Amino acid sequence: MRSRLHALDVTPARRTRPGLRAFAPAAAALLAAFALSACTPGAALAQKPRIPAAPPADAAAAPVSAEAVRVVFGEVTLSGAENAPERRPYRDPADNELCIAPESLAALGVTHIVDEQAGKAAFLLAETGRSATVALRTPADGSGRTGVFVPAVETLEALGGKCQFDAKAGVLHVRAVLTDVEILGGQLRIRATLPVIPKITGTNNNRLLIFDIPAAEVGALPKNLTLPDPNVEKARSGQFSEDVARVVLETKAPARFGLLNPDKPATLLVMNPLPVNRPETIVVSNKPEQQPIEQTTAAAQPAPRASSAKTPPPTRVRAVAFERVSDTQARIILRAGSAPTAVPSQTEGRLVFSLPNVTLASGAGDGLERAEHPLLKGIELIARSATQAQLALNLTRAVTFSVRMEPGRGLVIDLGLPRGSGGRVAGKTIIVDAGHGGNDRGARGVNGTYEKAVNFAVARKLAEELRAMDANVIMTRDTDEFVPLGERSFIANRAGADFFISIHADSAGAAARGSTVYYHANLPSARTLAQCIADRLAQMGTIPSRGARSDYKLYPGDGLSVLRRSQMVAVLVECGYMSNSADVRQLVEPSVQDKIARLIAEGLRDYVEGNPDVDTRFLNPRGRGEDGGVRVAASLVTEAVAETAAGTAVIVPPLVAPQVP
Amino acid sequence: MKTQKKNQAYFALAGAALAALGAGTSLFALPGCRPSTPTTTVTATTDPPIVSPPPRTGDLGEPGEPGKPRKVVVYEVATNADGDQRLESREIALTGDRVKTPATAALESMTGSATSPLPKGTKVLSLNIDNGLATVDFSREFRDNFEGGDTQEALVINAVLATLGQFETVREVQILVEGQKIDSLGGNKELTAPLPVPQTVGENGSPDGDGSA
Repeated sequence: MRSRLHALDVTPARRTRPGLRAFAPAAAALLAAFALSACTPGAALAQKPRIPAAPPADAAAAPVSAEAVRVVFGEVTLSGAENAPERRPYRDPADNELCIAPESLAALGVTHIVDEQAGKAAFLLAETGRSATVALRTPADGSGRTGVFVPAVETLEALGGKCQFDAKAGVLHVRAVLTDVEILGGQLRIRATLPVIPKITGTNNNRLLIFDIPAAEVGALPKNLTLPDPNVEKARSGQFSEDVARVVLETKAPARFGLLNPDKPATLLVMNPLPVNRPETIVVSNKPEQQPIEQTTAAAQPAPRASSAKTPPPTRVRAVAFERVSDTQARIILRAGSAPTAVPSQTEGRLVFSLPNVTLASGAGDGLERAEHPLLKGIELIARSATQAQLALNLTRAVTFSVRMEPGRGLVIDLGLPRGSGGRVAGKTIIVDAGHGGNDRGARGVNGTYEKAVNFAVARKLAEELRAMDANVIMTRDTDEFVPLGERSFIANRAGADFFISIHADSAGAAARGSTVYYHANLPSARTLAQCIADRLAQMGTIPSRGARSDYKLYPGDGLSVLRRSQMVAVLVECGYMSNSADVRQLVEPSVQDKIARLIAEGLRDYVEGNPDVDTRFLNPRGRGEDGGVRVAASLVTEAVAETAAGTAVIVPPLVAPQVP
Repeated sequence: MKTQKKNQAYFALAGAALAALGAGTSLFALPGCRPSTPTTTVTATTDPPIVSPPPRTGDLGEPGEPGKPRKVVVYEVATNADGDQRLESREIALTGDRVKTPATAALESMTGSATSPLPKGTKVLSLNIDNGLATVDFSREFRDNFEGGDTQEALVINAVLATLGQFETVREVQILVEGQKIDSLGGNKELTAPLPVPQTVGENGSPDGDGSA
């Protein structure tokens, strides 16, 4: 007897037969075909399942036989039709299999069909598209059961649930597994494998929001979630109790969320933001901290562009200060009364912030030449004209950066080591995702080649390159098969991978050509990895590099789901254009595919270990001469002339327009 | 149970709350660049997003009345000399004798020509709007006649989102084909859940928040 199984520990792509696992329409078609071809008069198709609001009153009633068991999903007991004793779950004494009546699963929104002639039952959870086909079990005479049953654990786990059998109490606990947490279009979305209803509470003046999901396991979600939203301070997930998964959101200002369908259990929980100062639901005063988020965080947000018709007066930068936070973190502060616009651009070894509308106080950059840090070769503040300047950082390696306005301090630029860098590629877990596959052929090339073939060839070569670096590589598909988009990031999240690299080829007008590396939103580490790979792909020669771009260029405010839903550092490489005859001629050449794969792998290595062609000092030296190591400099704070600003700086102009290269 | 009731209360007030915030501005969205009037061209700056947020011009309305043409914004694919493609908006006037709603007519007008964003032969089988969610059911041609890549897929999806997004009653869009949800149109953009109408993006389409430090 398997007392505890983890269906989700198996790659979903392999878990069920091809054709069954794919997607709701396919599974629905399967059910339909099943119904037409092999249905016996006794076959049942549960049409409109619903979840009982409460457990049946007699759920805990005495079992009809010694082998009786209970199957519970949170507060819901899954028992047979109308709680008839002869349809209740039981444990088969012959092999200890836990058996459940097929109709019991209707409470989970599962439809089913029974084919007694073939001895099989098919199940479909339409919301997620997961399906299961299992062998029927017939209870022995004298067991007090009639009709056909199915193995409970096999069925429920194929449908995405997790099962745990408490043999002492005779209870099989079924739980949903959380697969995704994301903020999309201002909504918080949590996905689970089985339909659930969360409980939402706000504490700390609604800055700490707690989402408790009963009958659920947190699954492979990382403890610290990456939610690229300017108002989210931190997001975490965890197992609050054996039966409750918890997601916690810390926000920069009071916030509340309401469920879109509060009474309906769902596998996709969509929560809309609600205003926080509504006396109907919470007692609030008109204290400033309970203003809506737009007002309280106005200082950290740009003014609407549409209304700012005229150029604001230049911001006076009084001084530029350098702070060494640690060996791997540095901070540069542009002291100013209001936030100057700063447009960053990063190329190999250099990060430049253009300051298009500033005036520099005399001696504003004094002392910067003494700034020393393992990440930096030097800092320069250059006046380009009376109202234009440039802050240039010469780097020792690829870094991440973030920019924010701190009232009273000025514009704060934080530099750091990218996530997952500073060590070696060896031992890292890397997901290589060959885009498309199976029926999904991707873009059709002008020469008739389909994108899926190019992607797969490059992805396989990339996996070889990375394995040669002793990385642990997982491919989302290793053959020509269809893998739904949601499963690709799910595979990566479950594996707890360090990196996700998706391989694609684009298609647009006939003249468009070149490779592009996408990262999600403005995530600093992903942006840096994309830049490292784009810099390497610029060495291709035969296919030009179009650089790194945010996926918000394709889908404003939303991006690509494989990047958004992957919790690790994730990029998507478009190797070239299938619509361009020159590009596609290259893309089908095995030698070109080799080179693309090698350059992508080298780009990742540059990110993790440093680029020996560009970087001068390595945090983790690879034996490149005596000066390859870290030079630990004394803590240095450079404070230039502290000229008092005359400006009042009440309204903060557009803070930063993080220019997507 | 208590929580459920509470949630119910939140939900009941959500609509009013959104209205109060103004045309669907969300707490977790940035004040962005939503044009107040319909634009006819999209000015290309250095590297703009593939589509600008749609103008918001009133509700979906009933089928046009005879003699009262209704103006809607539709999109077409513009290709520059480098082969880069993006959507450009233009306003069309719908004559009043149509049976279809302006939204349906607008979607169906975006197929057939070389610059049409929607795949050839696409028909709108149905369009329902419920509580801000527009569910549009396309004919099989929508998927069968699409053979593009990531950029072209973004052009199709964004054209649908922006066209429906111009109606203030629409906050998100669920795309169906022949009544069924599909994983994606071309293998790049997941369509299994409703997509939000782009309303609030920072300059150049990028979010102004950093996500993490």
